[in-house]
Amino acid sequence: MPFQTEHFKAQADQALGDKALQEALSRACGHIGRMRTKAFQELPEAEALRDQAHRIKSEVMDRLDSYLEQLETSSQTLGVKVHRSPDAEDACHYILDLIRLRGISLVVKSKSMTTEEIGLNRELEKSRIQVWESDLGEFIVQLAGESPSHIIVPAIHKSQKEIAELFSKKLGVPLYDTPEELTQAAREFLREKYFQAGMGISGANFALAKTGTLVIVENEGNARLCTTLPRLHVVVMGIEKVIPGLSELVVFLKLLARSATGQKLSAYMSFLQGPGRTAEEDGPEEIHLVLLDNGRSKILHDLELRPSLFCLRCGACLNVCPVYQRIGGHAYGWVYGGPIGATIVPQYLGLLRTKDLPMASTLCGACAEVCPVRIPIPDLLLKLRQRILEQGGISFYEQTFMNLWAFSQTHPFWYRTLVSLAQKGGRTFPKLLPEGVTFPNKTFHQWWHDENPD
Amino acid sequence: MGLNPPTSITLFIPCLMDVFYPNMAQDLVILLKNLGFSPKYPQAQTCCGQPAFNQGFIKQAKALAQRFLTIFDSAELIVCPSGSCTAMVRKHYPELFPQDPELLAKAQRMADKIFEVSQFLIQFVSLEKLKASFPFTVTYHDACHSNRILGIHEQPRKLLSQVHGLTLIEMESSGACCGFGGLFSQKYPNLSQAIGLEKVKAVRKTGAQWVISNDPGCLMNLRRRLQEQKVPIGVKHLVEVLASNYTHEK
Amino acid sequence: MKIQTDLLEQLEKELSELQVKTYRAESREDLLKILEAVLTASHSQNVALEPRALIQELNLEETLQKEGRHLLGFNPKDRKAMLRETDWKLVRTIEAGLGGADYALADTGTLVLFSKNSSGRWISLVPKIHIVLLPLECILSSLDELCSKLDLVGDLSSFGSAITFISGPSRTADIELNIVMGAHGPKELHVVTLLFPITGLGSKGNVQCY
Repeated sequence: MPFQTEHFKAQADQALGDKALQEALSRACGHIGRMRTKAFQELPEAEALRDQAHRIKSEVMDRLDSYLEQLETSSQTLGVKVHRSPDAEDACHYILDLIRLRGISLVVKSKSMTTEEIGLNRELEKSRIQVWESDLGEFIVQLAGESPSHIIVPAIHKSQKEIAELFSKKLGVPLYDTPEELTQAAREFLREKYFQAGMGISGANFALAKTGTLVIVENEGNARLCTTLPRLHVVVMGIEKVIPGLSELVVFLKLLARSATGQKLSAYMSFLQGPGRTAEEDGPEEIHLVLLDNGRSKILHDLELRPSLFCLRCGACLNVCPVYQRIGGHAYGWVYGGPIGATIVPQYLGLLRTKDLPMASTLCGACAEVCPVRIPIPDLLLKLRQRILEQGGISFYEQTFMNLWAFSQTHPFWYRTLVSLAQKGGRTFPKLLPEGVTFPNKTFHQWWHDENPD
Repeated sequence: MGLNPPTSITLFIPCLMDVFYPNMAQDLVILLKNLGFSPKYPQAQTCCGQPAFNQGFIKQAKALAQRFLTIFDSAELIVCPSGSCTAMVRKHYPELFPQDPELLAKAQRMADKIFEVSQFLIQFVSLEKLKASFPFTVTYHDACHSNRILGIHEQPRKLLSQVHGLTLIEMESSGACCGFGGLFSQKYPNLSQAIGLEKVKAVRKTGAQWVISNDPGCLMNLRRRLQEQKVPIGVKHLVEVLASNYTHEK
Repeated sequence: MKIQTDLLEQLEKELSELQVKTYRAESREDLLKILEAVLTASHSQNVALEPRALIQELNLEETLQKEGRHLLGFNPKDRKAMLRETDWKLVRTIEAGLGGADYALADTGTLVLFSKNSSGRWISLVPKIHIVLLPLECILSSLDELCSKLDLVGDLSSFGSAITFISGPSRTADIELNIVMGAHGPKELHVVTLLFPITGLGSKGNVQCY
């Protein structure tokens, strides 16, 4: 997916001026945030589970290569074909080749941020392959020709009225005015696609190294349909999603839905274990697991930033972020937004073209407070800021200012002098100061000095 | 009251407070004196280095931290009227010197002996000693670093409950960021303002006459945002409220 | 150790909160009445039975078959005509799927289906109405309890190409956060707990309920 990270400020300003978006974000983030809080209050062992989840991810990352090898073997035992993709180009290539070889013309997709990352839809469309997003939010966003604005509710930036107009225009249905009718319209339209599609493409929330089991978590049932009816099922999954086995999986399952939507468990969880068996009536005939690197190894080998890979893509950090709440996902300029986006997008795309992302944060820590796997996002953002400076991403002007300031702070005579000057300046030119700020007659330091002469 | 009070306490006054809100620091001195302490104030002190650290200027942050560690080396216990500065020393100072065992040890010791003011009061002072009077309705803003890094939530509330005549009205999402973020407010002014506006809405909704917090950065920002929106709600530091019987009301 | 009726109560409570309709069948006759009521109320004219041992044992075809209702049972020819080779021709017409569950988890209101025992997945996925028959003994307390049972077997893949966990009908909140049922999967989920013994099935204590 092409990126617009360099235009963050302008995009953020645009979002701030979009009243409808502001209201939609307030409502969505507030609601989902509250649901998450309630769900965690009802889970007495929540904090222990979060610690455990963090530990499991940490241990997996320590030995990721060996878990991936184990996953390859167990997948092959299940009859799943495994392909390791170093980057987006390779992944798209692999999938397109498969499509051409099998003569497929119609593909259905369930929600997958990884396929956004590799720009798969665009490549498929370039090759005249019909591809349909089946998750309702993604479907809406696809019809509108936009990108998702939130990990969990991709079309949250669209009002019901806008969706009704969109459906009427693109699907030729009447202008509906209830969400039920709109959902039904999408259901009917997409039904045929599931039955006709030659390939279903999905992501995966987890892959169990021991057994090769792929785990998909959802509420609508579209992922189940995409991974049951078409002959061919392709899974595009980031390499960091592998975990050892069932007992580790349960820890995450207890946290994931609660973090994402406040549900105990989402409506459907599928443990997929190879193509449909002989005695089974359905299930794909062929499954391909594309293990995507696309920059993940680089993060893995960066010990300071490695915890970025623990992310479960639950979206909890987005809902509580004061910045995300005001600007939504688009402003970040690439696939991932919010606190986790600010952390990983610079690592995927390069710091210098994404430097606003780690900088545009108050470091309030609300994200770290809710992250189910305890990713210390503010600490990671601080590290990224250090690197931005190291790589020359801070303006000469700012560096000079900081150097002068630091000099004055380590040489109090100059500090006190500068302050005196500022006090006089502030009194002479009060308009130069920000609203509500004035220079009192004496600093505390001056007062103390006068009160306690040596 | 928990532990035995220290024999001497030393003040670390945040640079923002030193320059823009010296009255808050003066109230802190008055409060501590009336509680029986003779606070020290090493005049060589400047800044803890947080502004540099937060912008990625590690070199400058380390320089300021080293200076701080030297100046406060002999202090028995340090009291600081800022959650974010206290958090800087407690959390980040030990992270600054991974390669230098001597500085790391100094930083660890410093982290153990610096207290944000409400932490200090709750741990070392028996609450009956507080003779504050502030007959107004107030709401409390939980500053981010205080709240999330230092775990300060109950302490200010306990202290406020001892203030004669004061009524505390909780705002929705008292822990939501006010949008200051140090230099964030300068670099991303529109975002900072928009975030601050949400805070103003929450404060206003309580109907309180004053909003109280323990971080001068937040207080400066809140005052600015309230004035921008022409909301006639006052802003005070926790220590101003706690010292209110000993000082003249402003 | 919770007794089964306690677990049933907890399960029913969780299921109702998930908008699942729950029933208790004290006998086979009771069951038939319940099924008839559900199928009539939902105007389901094309109903498919899941090729599961439990469903076969219950011998429902004759009674449920009636005027205006087309019941697709276990006839191999019928089943073949439903499948991929015919472009899922008959599957598309099915309005209600009647099947079972291997386990239910009381604390989350979850049904667990092994594709090996369902002989596939579409019955619990494609039709608008999904009716589940659940023997009382199959109710477990939680996901943890299920996992310790699965661990005993060791090989997860022996349960089929898919183990599906269902916690309520299909739902979405993508349009302005309004929750709508039946996004793509079933719109209605009905769970009938069987409180009478079913002959010919395995005893409780085995990993697979039957």
